[in-house]
Amino acid sequence: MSSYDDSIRNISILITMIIGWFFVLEYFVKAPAINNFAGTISGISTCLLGTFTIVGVGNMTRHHVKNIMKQGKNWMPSIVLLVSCWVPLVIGLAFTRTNPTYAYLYSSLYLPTSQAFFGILSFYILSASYRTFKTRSLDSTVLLLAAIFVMMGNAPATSIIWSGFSPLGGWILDVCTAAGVRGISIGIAIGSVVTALRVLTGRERRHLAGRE
Amino acid sequence: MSFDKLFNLDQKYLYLVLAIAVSIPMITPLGLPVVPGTYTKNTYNFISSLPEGSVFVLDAAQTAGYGPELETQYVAILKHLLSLDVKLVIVSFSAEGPMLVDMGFTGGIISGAPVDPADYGDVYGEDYVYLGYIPGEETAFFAFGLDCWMTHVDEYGTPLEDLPIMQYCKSAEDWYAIMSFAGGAHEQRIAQWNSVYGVPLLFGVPGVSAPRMYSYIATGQVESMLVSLIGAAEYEMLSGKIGLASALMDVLNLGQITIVLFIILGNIGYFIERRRGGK
Repeated sequence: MSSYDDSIRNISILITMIIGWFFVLEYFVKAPAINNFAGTISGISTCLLGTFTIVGVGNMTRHHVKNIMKQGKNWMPSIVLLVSCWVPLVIGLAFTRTNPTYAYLYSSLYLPTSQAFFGILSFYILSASYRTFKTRSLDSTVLLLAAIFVMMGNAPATSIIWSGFSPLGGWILDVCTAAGVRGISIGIAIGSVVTALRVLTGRERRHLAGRE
Repeated sequence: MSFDKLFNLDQKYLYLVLAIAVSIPMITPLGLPVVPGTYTKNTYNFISSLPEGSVFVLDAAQTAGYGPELETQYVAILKHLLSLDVKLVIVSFSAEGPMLVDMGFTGGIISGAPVDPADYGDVYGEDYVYLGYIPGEETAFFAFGLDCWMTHVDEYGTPLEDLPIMQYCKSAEDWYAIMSFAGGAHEQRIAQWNSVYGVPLLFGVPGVSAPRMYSYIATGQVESMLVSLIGAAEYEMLSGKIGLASALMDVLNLGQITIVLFIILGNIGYFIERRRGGK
């Protein structure tokens, strides 16, 4: 790795550290000058993130155009992908999203397709749960009962059969699920704090493809 | 037909039964009961008690995939808010937001009948405004809280200084509360809008995201939430503004019950098989 690459990487780490510590300061200090400057940086960052989309689309297009030219693996789906990306993009850019063709593509093509994919999941869930959700052990029995009570609780019509489904399903979610999720959340939060500290102290270099 | 066949049905029969079960209520609505849950009631009570003239922000970040869940919630809340004397600021932090916000007003396959704010006596720019899509996720949540005028113009190109409602909404300090309809990035929203700016936060979430929210409601970081299509239907019932969600509840009810019945059927078959000495 050249010394030029190292210099660029060090500058990037330095900028990240300065901006990071500035935002830590901004959180605790309420001073108009600092807060306004934080707003300016956030605005710039928002614009940059929007601009990165162009880079992403450009990269994706280049990759798939190459694949089509070479007639490489899955070159026909590459054509579908490029058409699906560029047709709405060009229409949207040229005529804005209020254009009838753009609105038609969204509401009559994209919207039903997206929902169909989600809808299909219910069929797979039915098939999978019928075949695999069996009371093979104590653990799986507890899991099965919890699932049945939560699902029955989520179908309000089951209150006709027994009014206890909803409260019992709610209790499982409020107490048991919340306890499990809280543990996971705290674990993630501790991991995030550690990563943030590594970034703030310049020890985290992997995002810049650098050595530890 | 032997029991073995009944308990080891081919998946095409399962699919057929589920398809029939969810199709029946579409042809003949059954009107199965909807019982409002605690979180929906809390959301309704919170919104009903908004002070007159307060600024309420709607983060319309729904997407097509979660459409039937989040769009129906959004429309149910929108109708209720339009009927109240509040300043409604709508903004989207998802790219699909503008299309679905428009669909809420004009009507569509996942939003139901059109919602015309004029029916509620609301005027654009005075009582409600739509600021459009702001990219950037968490950075944008923070930036928008710091400066609500960051877009300079609304979704339709009108400068914000020409919209009287925006005089009441300059930063998160002016918000009474915010409600977000999003399939993801909930923690980032809590971290910025509630932890940094201290704004009461409500959510409309798809069923799959709900388990992550319970602990935040317990800690008070989130006021309450609407969960899935059920939340939307319950809210419609509480607000007395029946819409698409209530119509779809029969489908959801029968779908869930069918799945549970098949799980039970599968287990009966498993027990019989075990008694016979099978694996």
